[in-house]
Amino acid sequence: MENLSMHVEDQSKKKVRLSGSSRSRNRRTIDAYAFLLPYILFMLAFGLGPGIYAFLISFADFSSGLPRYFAAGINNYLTVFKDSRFGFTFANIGEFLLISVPVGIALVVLLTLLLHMRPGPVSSTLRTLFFVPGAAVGPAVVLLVIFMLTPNLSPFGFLLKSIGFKAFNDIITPASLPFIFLIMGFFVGAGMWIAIQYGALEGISNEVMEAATIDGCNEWQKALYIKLPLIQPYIVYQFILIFAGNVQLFVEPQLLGNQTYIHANVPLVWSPNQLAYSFAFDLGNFGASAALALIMLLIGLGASYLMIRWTGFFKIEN
Amino acid sequence: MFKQIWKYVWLMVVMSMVLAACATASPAAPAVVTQMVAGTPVVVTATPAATQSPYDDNAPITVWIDQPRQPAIDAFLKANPDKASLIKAVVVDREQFPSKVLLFNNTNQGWPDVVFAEPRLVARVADAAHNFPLDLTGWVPADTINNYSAMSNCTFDGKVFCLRNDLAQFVTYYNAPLMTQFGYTVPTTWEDYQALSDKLAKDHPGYYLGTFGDGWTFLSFFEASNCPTHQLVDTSTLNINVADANCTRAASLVDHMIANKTLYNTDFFNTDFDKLITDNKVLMFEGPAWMWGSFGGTKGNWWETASHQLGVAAPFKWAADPAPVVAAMGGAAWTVSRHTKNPKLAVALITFVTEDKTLWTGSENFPAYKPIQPLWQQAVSSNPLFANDPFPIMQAAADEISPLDNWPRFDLISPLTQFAQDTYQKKLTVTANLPEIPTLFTPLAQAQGYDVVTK
Repeated sequence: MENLSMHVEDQSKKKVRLSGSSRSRNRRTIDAYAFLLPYILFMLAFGLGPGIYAFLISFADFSSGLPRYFAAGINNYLTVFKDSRFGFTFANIGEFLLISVPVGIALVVLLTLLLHMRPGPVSSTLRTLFFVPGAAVGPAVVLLVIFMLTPNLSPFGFLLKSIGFKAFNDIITPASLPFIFLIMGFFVGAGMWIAIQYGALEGISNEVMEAATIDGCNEWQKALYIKLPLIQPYIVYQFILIFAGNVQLFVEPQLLGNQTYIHANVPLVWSPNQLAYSFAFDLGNFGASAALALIMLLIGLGASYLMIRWTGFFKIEN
Repeated sequence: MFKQIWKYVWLMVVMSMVLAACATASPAAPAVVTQMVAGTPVVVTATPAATQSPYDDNAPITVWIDQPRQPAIDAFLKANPDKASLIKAVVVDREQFPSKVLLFNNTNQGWPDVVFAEPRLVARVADAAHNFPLDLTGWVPADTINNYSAMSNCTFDGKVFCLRNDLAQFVTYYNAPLMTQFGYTVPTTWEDYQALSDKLAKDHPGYYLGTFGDGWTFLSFFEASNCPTHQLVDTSTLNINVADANCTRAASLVDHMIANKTLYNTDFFNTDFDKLITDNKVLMFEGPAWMWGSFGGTKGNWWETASHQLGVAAPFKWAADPAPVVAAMGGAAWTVSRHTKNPKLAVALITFVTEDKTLWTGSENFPAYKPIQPLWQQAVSSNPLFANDPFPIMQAAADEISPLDNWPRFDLISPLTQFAQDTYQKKLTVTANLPEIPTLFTPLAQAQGYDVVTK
């Protein structure tokens, strides 16, 4: 972190020297902050504020139903680690991440590279089509998937039946859940990421591509040796956001496990976030819930930090 | 300059921490002994008596109901026009009730005054963390309380936390013309039921005697067999023993009937099962007392049956048992918040909606309040839907509801549904998969603070 802030500082000093008088410098700073202000306010209200509150109540004792601050010490953290569902949920989310992150990224990058090989009306129509499902949000997608995977309701029911799935419960099993969630996530998120990666590909300078053509690269070689390395920072960016999003999986298992309306073989608490929810709203232990939420935050931050260190994502090249 | 930005961010972090600490720390200390009344804190005794002062007979009350309860509230408003402005009825998903109470406890305000919910949900808000219901002893005269059936589910450590609205005892529903056509008699024991299943499978394949596929259908067999999957020994001890002979006999019955294909594999409300009933493919099954309301196509095209087609018989008993053990599916109650400012009005409301004669005549729910049961009887006994008078059977079954209908403080249906589906998916027998139940229940029970025993 030391290194990267130094880098940025060097840049800003350089700019200051170029930009001349101190008055215009102040003006520019104020403008910048004015543009940042809405984001900072929202971040404080909905990001940092709740985070700090969670940190506070993770040490509070809720055994009487009302918080007694700092009365629990680290007991809430111990409660989380000792809960018999802790290992189960983290094994589940681990399996889901192992499947969903690489598969999600690989498919998105592959689709984008294919779309970029032959730009034209077909490619741009497809990009739009990929983008459309992004309009559906989590809960709606769950309903859509339930509908699509119920052989007697689905328009593709005959396909499901032909491969041996006669009922919804033949498809939704504890072992198939990570794949089901992968399908849901990919369906909704892929379009946006394709747009972003496509934008990155468009940003590659024409000279480089022309040079590659003159050197005798075919489209596949260009994709593999020229385009892929150049969009690597965007792939890292996608990794960070997809990891952070997927580790927070909640809505999909929560709705699929709702036994009032859907009678499926889905464990009541499947993902760590559901465990946090269960701590808060089944057991009334908001402290343990906050503790688990912070553990999840640490995991997300840790993975992102490692990825940034490993790839030098923030390195600014001169 | 970059470092300067960090300084400001750091300052904001520190300031918001200070602010957060100020804002949140203040209500924490006095919360135990203070109630916020009309915006002003009023000190009450640390251990509130059955009634928690101060009261205001003119304070409005919020009532949480489901959609079918709206007519009951309307009837109360009509009967008490002077109170109309004081009652605010809100339709809510009552499965959220326990978690909402926790949120209100945290903000120390916002609780509903009266809630329509099953005793299993009342049980979940009766623990120390929720600490929600008002003890109705003293508020409702003891004689009146004695007039309600199945109050044991509303009584916690001697405190009456709810009044029963209706009962949902299982009875046997059968397709009367089909039984006559096949020349069968309605079994009275589970053993006869199993024997009938063999006969039906041989003579009339493709017909069903019930279904097994979710938590409720599980309970219709296992609770009725007195199988201790969730037996409350006392308020902090839960007995889970699936090796009990009561469990294994139910399991082998279910396995037998799954094997001879006379049990379907879904919940009661699955569209496929619904269609089988409409197509006259279901000969009989055990269902709760309110389920008759779904027959006859009265609710859309649900479970269409002709007039005098629906027979009702006593729930089955095991030959070795002296009497049937009756399972229940729902059967709700009304509970009052101990935070309410107007307990008089709250109690007036819940006694009205459970006791009013006009309201209950023609209702499909079996009333828990005994004095209105004769009126209800008149309505159902003359209903052309039935092949016989269902009332005596339902009334007898009401008194035989299993103590297992007293639920622990966690949801049984989700894990049991998971169990039933898992059994099918793993292609195991129910008997072989029974040990999965303690695996599913034990962590839930321990998280709720129960000592789990096996005896």
